[in-house]
Amino acid sequence: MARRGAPVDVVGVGRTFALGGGEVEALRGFDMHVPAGGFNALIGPSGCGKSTALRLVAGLDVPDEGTIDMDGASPDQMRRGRRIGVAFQDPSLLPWRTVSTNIRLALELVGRRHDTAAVSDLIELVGLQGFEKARPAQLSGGMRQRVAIARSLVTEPDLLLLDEPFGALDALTRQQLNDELQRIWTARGTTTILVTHSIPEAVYVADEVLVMSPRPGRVVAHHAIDFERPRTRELLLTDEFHAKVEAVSGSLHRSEGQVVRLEADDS
Amino acid sequence: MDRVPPRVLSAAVGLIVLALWELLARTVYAGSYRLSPPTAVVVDFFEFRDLYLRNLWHSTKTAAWGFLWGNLAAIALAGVASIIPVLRRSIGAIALTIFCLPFIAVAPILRLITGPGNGTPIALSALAVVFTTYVAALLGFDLAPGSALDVVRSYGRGRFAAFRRVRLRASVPAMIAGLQIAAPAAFLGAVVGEFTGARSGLGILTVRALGSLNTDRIWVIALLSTIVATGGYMAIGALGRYLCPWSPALDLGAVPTPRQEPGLVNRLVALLAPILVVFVFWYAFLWVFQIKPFFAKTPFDVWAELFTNADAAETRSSVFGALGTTLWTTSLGYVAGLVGAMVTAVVFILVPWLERSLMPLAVALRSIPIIVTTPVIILFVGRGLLTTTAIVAVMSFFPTLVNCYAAMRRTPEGILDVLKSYDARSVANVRNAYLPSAVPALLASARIAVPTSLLGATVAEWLATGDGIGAVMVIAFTRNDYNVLWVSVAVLTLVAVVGYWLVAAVELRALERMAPGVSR
Amino acid sequence: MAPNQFSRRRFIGRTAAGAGLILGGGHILTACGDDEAAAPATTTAAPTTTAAPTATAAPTTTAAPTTTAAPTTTAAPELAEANFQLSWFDSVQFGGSYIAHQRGYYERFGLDVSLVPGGPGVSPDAAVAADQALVGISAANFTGQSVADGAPFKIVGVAMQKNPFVIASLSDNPINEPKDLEGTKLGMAFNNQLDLDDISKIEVITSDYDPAPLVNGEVDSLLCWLTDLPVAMTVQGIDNTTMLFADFGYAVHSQTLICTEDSLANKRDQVLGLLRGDILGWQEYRTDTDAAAQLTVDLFPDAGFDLEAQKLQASEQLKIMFSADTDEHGFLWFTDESVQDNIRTLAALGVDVTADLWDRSLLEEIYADGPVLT
Repeated sequence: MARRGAPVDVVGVGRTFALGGGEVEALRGFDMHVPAGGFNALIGPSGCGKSTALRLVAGLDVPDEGTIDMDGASPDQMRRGRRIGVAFQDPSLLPWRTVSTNIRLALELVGRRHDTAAVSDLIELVGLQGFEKARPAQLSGGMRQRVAIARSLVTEPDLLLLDEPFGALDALTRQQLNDELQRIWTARGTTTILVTHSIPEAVYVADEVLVMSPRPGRVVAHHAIDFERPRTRELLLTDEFHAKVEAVSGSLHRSEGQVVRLEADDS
Repeated sequence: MDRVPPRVLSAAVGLIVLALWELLARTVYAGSYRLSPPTAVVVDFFEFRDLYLRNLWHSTKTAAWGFLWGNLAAIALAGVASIIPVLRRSIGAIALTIFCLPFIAVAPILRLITGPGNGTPIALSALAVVFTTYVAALLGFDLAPGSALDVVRSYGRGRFAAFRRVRLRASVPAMIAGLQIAAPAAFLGAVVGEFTGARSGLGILTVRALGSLNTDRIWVIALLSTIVATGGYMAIGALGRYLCPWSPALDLGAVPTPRQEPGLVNRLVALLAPILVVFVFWYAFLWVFQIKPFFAKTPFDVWAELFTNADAAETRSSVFGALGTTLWTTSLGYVAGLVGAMVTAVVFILVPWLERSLMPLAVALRSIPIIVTTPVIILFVGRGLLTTTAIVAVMSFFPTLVNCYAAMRRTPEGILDVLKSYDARSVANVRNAYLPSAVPALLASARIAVPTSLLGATVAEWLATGDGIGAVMVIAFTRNDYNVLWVSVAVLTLVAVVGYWLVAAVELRALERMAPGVSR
Repeated sequence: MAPNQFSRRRFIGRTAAGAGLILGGGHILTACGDDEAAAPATTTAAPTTTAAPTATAAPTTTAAPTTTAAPTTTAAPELAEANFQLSWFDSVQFGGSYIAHQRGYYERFGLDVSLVPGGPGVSPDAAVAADQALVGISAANFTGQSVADGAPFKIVGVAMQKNPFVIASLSDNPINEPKDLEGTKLGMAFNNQLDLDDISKIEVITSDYDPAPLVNGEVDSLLCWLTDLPVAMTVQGIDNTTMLFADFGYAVHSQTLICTEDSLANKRDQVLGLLRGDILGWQEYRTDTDAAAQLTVDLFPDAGFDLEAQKLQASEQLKIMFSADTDEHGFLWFTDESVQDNIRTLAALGVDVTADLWDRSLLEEIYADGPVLT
């Protein structure tokens, strides 16, 4: 399949926020490389700066130090070129728009308002046929996330950034959406960065899992995941999968210098 | 511009405005007896400081009593409505009717009951606050956490215990928001009340100053009223933050109307019960105060005057003719105020430094009593139909601006991030996020603005233009024509109530369309 | 009183509330235009030197304690309480009544009188009808209208012999007689509206009750009282000209004292006492209007009065309150002729009244011994 998308190179990025009277250093010396068409997962303890890192890559925020390069373009240039798709834990749909017009919003913003075929393709891809006219309030949480993901994909971005898009969902729905995400990524081949709390989720969908340290966050471990694709749920039951999860979990615990329980619903 | 601290910016803008004002007053408007230069205003204030402070104290004291009684009554009504839900609609109808009564016609009728003295100003200022505080308190009672109510219920206690132990406490933030709105309203009521014969107060001092070409005095009074009304608004806000620091400031502007029960019978009952209650209330009012038949008109008298008396046609044509004038000028101003407020809110969103420097002014202007703004408005638009329009526009503009801007600021960050990730332009942000986010607040403000606009219009017609139903009411009263007076009051109140419910219906439909589930 | 006693009013629309004027070939109020001795309009030049404040030393008389008014009747310690409803906010317009109150003249006749201020939201007729006041200050056209509808009022005294309405104009563009109004703009507060037969010749602008529109040139003249807006302009140093309606045949008694027929029958002594006290006050007012102005300013510190304006108003007011008739018969008196003039004027305004509206019996009793009460 054709790999499309931009490689991402993040080098030595730092970001500090003013908060109240003092300062909070969210990232320091953050490095990350995602190959073109790659799928990286970013994992780490709460408040380690995962979301900050993602917002920097998305061009929604600017680093205080370090560089972010995507195939020769800065995040801001990528954003201005409308080559990025984002989805957050909160699906951030416009409550007054329907499923299809919410997805179409992204097309309107990039000047392709009339590309109705793209919208119906995406609706089919995320399995929302028959709900085109529904409004967000009439959908379940999982369905709303599908709309958000469809919206992030409809413009065929070179880079897909997902910030815990399934964080608020129950385990069953989450697994289902992980399968779909994998299928979509396989079909589209977009460079993807997924921020998540869940180690099994990261191991299940990504090519590489990056483990971050507590604040100020930086990448402390890389785990290449080379399970065959398409990955199925049988993979979850294999010893190899569990070994990988244990390995990632180990680096995460070491990164915190202590044993912590992850918020993830599995372990 | 973004780097300048807001306070410095506000101060700078304020100084520029003052300088322009001084310049205009000393040149273009010199000798016009309309615009006083700020320096002259300050000098006049200090020269007659005792006079101003005594009158200010008198009006403030009156307003404070009205504020106290009106709010106590409103909270008691809300309490009853909360404990006995069956009564809710009826109590709500009475509170809304009171809100929709035209002050200027009610004042002389109250005067006949309370007699000379401070009774009428206090009663008027109490009536001015009942509805908004009632709505706020009831909302507060309703916002009580269901789990806490369940705990009370699990101990086998009833509604009253739940009310006392949970709802009353939970309602504090909403009630504070209601009281904030009530403060300037009470002040307006007190000042209008002074026109029924007082010896002290800013209201009559204004009338005297107008008649004696004392322009400086008019401006001193305008500024003092602004300071007091705004001060009351801010003091109550501060009290709220002190009492419940955990709660964000509540925006009553965005409180949706409760949904109607389905079913034709339910709807009919819902429609007829409040009307019946208002009529009962009307009769009770006449009976309790034993008002002489010369002054007291029943619903049947009003009906006869409008439809069955020999000269009913004449009455109809004059009352409805004047009403037409009022509605036309009022709706122009109403729409202009709402549209202007939305546009200004958008500008404030797009140009933050402008917002930082001008918003405090807008919050202050929201609470100025209309009586003191009228001479200022006449200065700019002259006299005539446009005066009413301008006054109504000003009255609906400021509250709508404040509410809509707050709603736009509450647009979810996520939505803005999504838009930003596509490098959306300002126009796209406004169209896709800010404007729709402000629609509920706009409609809620529009709903409240129906009665307040009509109130503003009638006061303007009384003080400035001499047109419309406001003039009909005053002339009817001057000539002791209590039939026409009551007919006008009834018709105008009905129009205000119907207008309120029409906007409420639009609001309900819009909320269901835009954000199903939000409208409870 | 039963509501059906009150017939319908017919004045909704554009009939007069405050005053009526019929223009036509230069004749005003043809119904009673026999006053050929129409006085020329008075031109009040503003004093070039603003009155020196040092000259305003308070007369010692105002400080006179009420004890000087020794009760003439020996045993009447029990005072009856009575409200006296004034027609407007406090000002020297009611100076004589303030004097009466201050000096204990009402008490001398067994009454504890409260002077109740009026305002735009007060109808003295209504206050009297609602028994909130024993006596009220109204005007013949208002009372006439009420009585035409069956309200039980009587006019028992007339304080302003001449109607106080004027057309005020600036002296460099004066309105001296009715025909000067043609082709000009007239400003009037809407509830003082005139009834104009030939309205096309005048442009009527609704204004506040405020001299500013005239001073600013928005209008050429203002309909107002002789004693308020012109006085304010004069005090501000603005030369102005006034044309008194009464000088052109507009006969409507103003500042009339009214009470109900019921009070006249059952509280006759109290009404008599109130009138007597009031007359004593106004007799004293006439002798020293400056003192009355000073008293007004002192009594109502919250009003922020300008002493000069009150003094000027107090003396201007004399012109319309006292006349040859009052000199001959006493203050508050009204002649049968003036009653007939009023009936004709009111008829021209569309208000039909008879001489029954007026009741002079109290005054006749009061002035049985001569036109000056002692």
